[in-house]
Amino acid sequence: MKKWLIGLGVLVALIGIPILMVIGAYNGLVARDEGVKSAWAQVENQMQRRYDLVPNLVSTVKGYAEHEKEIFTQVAEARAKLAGAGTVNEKAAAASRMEGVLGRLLAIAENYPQLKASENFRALQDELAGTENRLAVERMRYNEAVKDYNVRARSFPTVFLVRMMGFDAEKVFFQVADEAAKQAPKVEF
Amino acid sequence: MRRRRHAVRGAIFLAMMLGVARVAVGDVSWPSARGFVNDLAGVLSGEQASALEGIARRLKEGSGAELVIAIVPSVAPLDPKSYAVGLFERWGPGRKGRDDGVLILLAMAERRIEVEVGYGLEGVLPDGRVGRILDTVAVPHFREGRMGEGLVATAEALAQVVGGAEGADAIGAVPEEGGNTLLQMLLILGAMPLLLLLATVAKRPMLLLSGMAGVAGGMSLFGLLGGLIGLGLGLAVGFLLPKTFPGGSGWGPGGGAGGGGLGRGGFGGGRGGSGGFGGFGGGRSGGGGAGRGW
Repeated sequence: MKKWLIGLGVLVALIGIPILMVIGAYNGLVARDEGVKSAWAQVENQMQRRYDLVPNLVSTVKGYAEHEKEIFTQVAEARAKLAGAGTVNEKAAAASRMEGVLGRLLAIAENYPQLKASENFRALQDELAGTENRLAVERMRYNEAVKDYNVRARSFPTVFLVRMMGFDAEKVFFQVADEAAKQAPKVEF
Repeated sequence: MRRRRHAVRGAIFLAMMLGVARVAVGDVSWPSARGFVNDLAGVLSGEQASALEGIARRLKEGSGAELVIAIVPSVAPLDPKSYAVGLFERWGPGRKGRDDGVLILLAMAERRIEVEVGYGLEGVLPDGRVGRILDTVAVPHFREGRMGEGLVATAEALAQVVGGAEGADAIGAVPEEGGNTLLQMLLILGAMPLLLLLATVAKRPMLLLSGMAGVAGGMSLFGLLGGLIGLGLGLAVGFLLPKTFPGGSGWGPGGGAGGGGLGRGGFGGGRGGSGGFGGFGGGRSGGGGAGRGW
């Protein structure tokens, strides 16, 4: 009777401990996977926000500087690229291109005192600066989430789960791709 | 000449990168919040401080939103906006889930004011609106050196916009939480008598101990399911232990780690070292708002 019970206990413990470990590893991975997804959604939100802001900005600038045709075409092109981007890397590249072009647009606006003084333009500039700040923040948080996931996905018991259950082996960081991006539109007051 | 310009540009870029990265790394000494008004640079007169305090208090009572003022001598090595984002993250003004907080940061050495708006107030306080308030209210005062007055007027203007928006209640509902926590509590409460009964019937007092240790350990590590499995494990171990020997109290991982996340009283559980007073509600922000130099 007693031996039987002890045997059962050992069996339960032997089966139970690995199960607990696997569940813990799995849940941890799922939570981080979701963390990356929601952080990315925030990045996309902010990119969309900027995307929506551009036509407004362009039409305001156009009102004062109609003949600066070149920059308007560039903005339109960059915006189209942004809309067509699919992967994280493509989006990062398109976003940095957009940043470069917007920076030039703002630099051009500097030459038009009336434009600069217009209340509408100032508000748009604030929105743009705010969007850049938001994007920077969400990008940073996204990268933190990615790092968190990658560390977990590569560490010991989890790494087997990743392979067995088809999780991403690692997530892609949002890297600012080309030179243009490094000079994000400087909005100074 | 050319090379030098390159170097300068490189340095600026590096500074920008570091500015963002530092927030993440956190090797900045962040001050802790003392209340709604935190004048760390000794700028305000007593009267102005209590005027600001009153504005924040009224806003909190009227709409639930939290307006916080921080005046620091310098934000080095960060830039003012990154500092504002980092400070917001640590202090967490605004209610959890609603994110209805606003932080006004004055960086004295940098001669800059930054308003960081919580996620939940971005609709009420769009960046353009904040910028306009700064242009028309704050900057004119600051340029004349009237820091305190400018700050009081700015806080008043911001509070009016936030408070005027039908309390922050119209802004967003608190996401529901705690459904799972309730189940976990039930498990703990249910396991106790069950174990007591088992322990008495089997005449094994250690059953109670190891069982509860299993529940607590499993739950704290892996939630509800973990708690159930932990209960089974604890029982198994309890049976393995000698009947009377009171030593070796099961291997329950982290016994006392049960009901985490239960204590959410009064002020909402302030995040990150805010000593002295209760802390803010734990609101979040994401870089919204506007800033101006003076």
